[in-house]
Amino acid sequence: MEHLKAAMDRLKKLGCDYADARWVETKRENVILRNGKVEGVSRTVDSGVGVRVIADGAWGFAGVASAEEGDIVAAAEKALDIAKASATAKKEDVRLGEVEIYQDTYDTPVEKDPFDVPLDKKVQLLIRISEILHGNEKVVATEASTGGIHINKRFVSTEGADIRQHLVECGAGYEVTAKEGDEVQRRTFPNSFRGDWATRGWEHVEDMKLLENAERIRDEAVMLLTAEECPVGKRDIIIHGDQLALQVHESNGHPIELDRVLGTEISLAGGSFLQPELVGNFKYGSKIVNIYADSISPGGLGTFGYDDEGVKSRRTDVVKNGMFIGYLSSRECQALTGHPANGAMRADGWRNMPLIRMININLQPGDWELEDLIADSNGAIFLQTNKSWSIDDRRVNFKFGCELAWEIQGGRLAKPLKNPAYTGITPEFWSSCDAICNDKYWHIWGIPSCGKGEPMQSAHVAHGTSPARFRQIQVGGAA
Amino acid sequence: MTRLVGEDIFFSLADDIIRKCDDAACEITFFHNAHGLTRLANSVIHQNVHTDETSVDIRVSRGDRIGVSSTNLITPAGMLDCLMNALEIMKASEPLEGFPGPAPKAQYKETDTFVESTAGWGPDERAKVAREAIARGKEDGLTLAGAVETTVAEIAVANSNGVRAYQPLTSFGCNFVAMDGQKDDPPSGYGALTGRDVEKADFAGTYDRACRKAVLGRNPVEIEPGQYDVVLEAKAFCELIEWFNYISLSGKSVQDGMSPLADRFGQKITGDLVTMIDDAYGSINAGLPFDLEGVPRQKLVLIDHGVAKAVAHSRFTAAKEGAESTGHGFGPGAMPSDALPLNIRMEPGEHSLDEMVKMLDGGIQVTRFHYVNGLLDTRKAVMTGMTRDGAWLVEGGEVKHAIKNLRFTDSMLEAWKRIEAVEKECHSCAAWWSAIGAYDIPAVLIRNFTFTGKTGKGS
Repeated sequence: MEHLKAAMDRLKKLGCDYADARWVETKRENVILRNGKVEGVSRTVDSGVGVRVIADGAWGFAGVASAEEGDIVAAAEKALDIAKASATAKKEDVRLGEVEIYQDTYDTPVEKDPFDVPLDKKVQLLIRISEILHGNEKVVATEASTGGIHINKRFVSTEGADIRQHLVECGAGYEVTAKEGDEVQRRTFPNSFRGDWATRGWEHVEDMKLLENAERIRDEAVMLLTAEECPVGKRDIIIHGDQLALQVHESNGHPIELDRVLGTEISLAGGSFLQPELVGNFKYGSKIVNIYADSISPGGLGTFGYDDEGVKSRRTDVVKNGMFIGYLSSRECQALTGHPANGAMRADGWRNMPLIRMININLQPGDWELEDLIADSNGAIFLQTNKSWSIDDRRVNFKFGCELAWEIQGGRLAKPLKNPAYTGITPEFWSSCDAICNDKYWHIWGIPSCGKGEPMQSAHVAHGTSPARFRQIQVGGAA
Repeated sequence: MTRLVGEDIFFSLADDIIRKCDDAACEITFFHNAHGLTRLANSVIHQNVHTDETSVDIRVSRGDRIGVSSTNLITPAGMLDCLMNALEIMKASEPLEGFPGPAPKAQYKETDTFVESTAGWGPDERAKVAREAIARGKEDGLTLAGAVETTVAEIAVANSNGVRAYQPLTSFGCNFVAMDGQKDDPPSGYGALTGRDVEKADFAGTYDRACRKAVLGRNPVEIEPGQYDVVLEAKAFCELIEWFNYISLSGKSVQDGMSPLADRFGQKITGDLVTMIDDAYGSINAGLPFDLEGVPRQKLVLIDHGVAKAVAHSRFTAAKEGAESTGHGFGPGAMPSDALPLNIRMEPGEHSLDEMVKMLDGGIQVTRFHYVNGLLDTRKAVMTGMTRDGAWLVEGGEVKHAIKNLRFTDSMLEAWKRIEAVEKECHSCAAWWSAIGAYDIPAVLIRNFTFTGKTGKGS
């Protein structure tokens, strides 16, 4: 893809302040069974080049689905024209923070390339799962899926960066819907909304124990048909790691995106209550709450070598001993605020301009054994697996629904509860956290579909969490 | 000016692929999308982008075995690779019982979805609108954010049964949020517009509405959650209908048992004033006359005066019920079960928005919602979300003052039984598939709408 450099040379000649170009080729394979039948096996190839330009102190971007030099140079010229149009409505020139410039390569470490696993093996695994899930007459629908992704990228810039990356992702999951009369309940495994994904190979799927858990998940869906409704009121709650991952995502991951904080997402996704003056001065949570962002955790779906403006992956502390101390940042935000770019600028393919996106946003594990925590929480509600999510445009007031809850009595999960939901105010909620389970229960949950931006971009992110307890949280049924 | 690829080139490429399929049946969908978008925030343009690409989805089938592959490499080699992938998958896959194969050849009605002037717009025209919006905001000391976008698209569907369907489309959209200051949670107002002909767009009226709402939103007071009569403006009501569509109005959601319409066809599930129709031909912005399987789009009465009537089907979900596709399938690029109405119209009523506000006493007027979610209990269509960009307490029919944001949680089946008035005019509200279709939605007055929480920073 030497044509990227030709585009940079052309832009330098035409006169730009800065430019970069990314070639991205994405290959996907998805296998989906619905009700035990192969409804979707697909392979997709998507390839193109995105060119980002600063000219006359403003941004322009153009993308083209081509590998031809002429097309790429034409896209670069288009981006330059767009930047000049943008400059007609600017207040100040766009500036980029200084970062180290790299020429490097990065490859996701993989044991078993998901594209090397025969299609028949994937199909047969999903068929066996589906057979187990359908082993109860109250089951009315099932879906089981697996997929793999190869992403080849090359990034060059007018500053001399030249970075090649080969990323591999793999994931799987299933859901089972049970129905009796007017009551319908659904359970998913290992997590809702396409399961669990990682920057790993097929070994990630093999480690999930998909078959071993299918009977339990099916029986839980059926059990929920006759379970009591979750009671309404203030209760202590323990949140399983799968749900806590989404809690971290919505109430910490999004509000620490510095572009959002500075208002650039205000018209669509909203802003953030974590304003710059709060850095180092705001009690986000209790003293045991420690949250960090990284793009280096092995297997994390937000793990890579360099972001889409060439910044090397790293770890950044976000909440330390309950205090809010850091953001996800970009080169532009670095120049505006001084918060250093930390490898969080990512684009959905070649056709989009990079935005600040979550990487792996992880809640540091505590020291509790889960059994001890349950034993210590008589009367509490244990909540598991996200069903619905909603949070306000400043990321303060949230309400989450879960698939399953248990009332804890006598030191054990005693009574199943259906349609559980909980609601709260972000800093009050995290300040009520008084126990976090240890690293034995800690897992990085890969979420393959985080939306942000206009046009809408989907990012692949992850959250390391272990179960944690929160005191006196408002819980209730769905309504 | 974006150049159209044109049906001749698409169908020539399709003919070539179909010839190479031997005895396998073949369905092909081309999608050409040229999209320009200018975003503004903090009263400057901060993002200005353009992409132009064509992709193709190929589904081959032999009996009930299928294989699907997609690519945006629209070259002879890229297309051939794509076909070979699909054929390889088909051979290795398991049968999909009930897969009906490609649609038969059909005739389509004509719909007018392409406007030359919109295709001619570029970054300079979009930037001009952005500058004018920013200038309007300055008059009231407001900060502007939002986006202005234009799309030129082409959809071509072909299959080995002789289906050849082609439609060029244009669309534009804009949204503006005007803010009174840039603090954490400033008073704000919202305006949005979507359509096919950019020359007919009232951009000035749209950003002016956002600015007026922001001014009216100054000095909001906090009120306690509870049950309030509400007037939901079209955008707010549309967000509920959009989620209702997603959880309810496809054959798949009914066959899964998750839809509130499942087992309830012919029954009254909500109020008399709720009539929803999917109509590609009679909507404000005309829609596609065919679906992505090449089936003619039917006008579909989904809910008739509160009675559950029908949902959208693909060929596969229809075949499961021994019925004909309604012409709402998503085609080879999606699963055979995937279908949705794309041009839903809520039938208008008899009142103006002002008249409905005058019917409130101790009620709330809502501009729009944020982050609605309808998965809490889909059988009851329980939804939750936050008000955003302007909500006002109305007493004695007069707007009293702005209020801080509230969270609602309510069953839409129940809440829509309490719709007492419907606006006499529908507004075109953008959907994520806005180049293809949009929602036509009026404002509604709902009695005893349930708010369950309020915003706040906490400790």
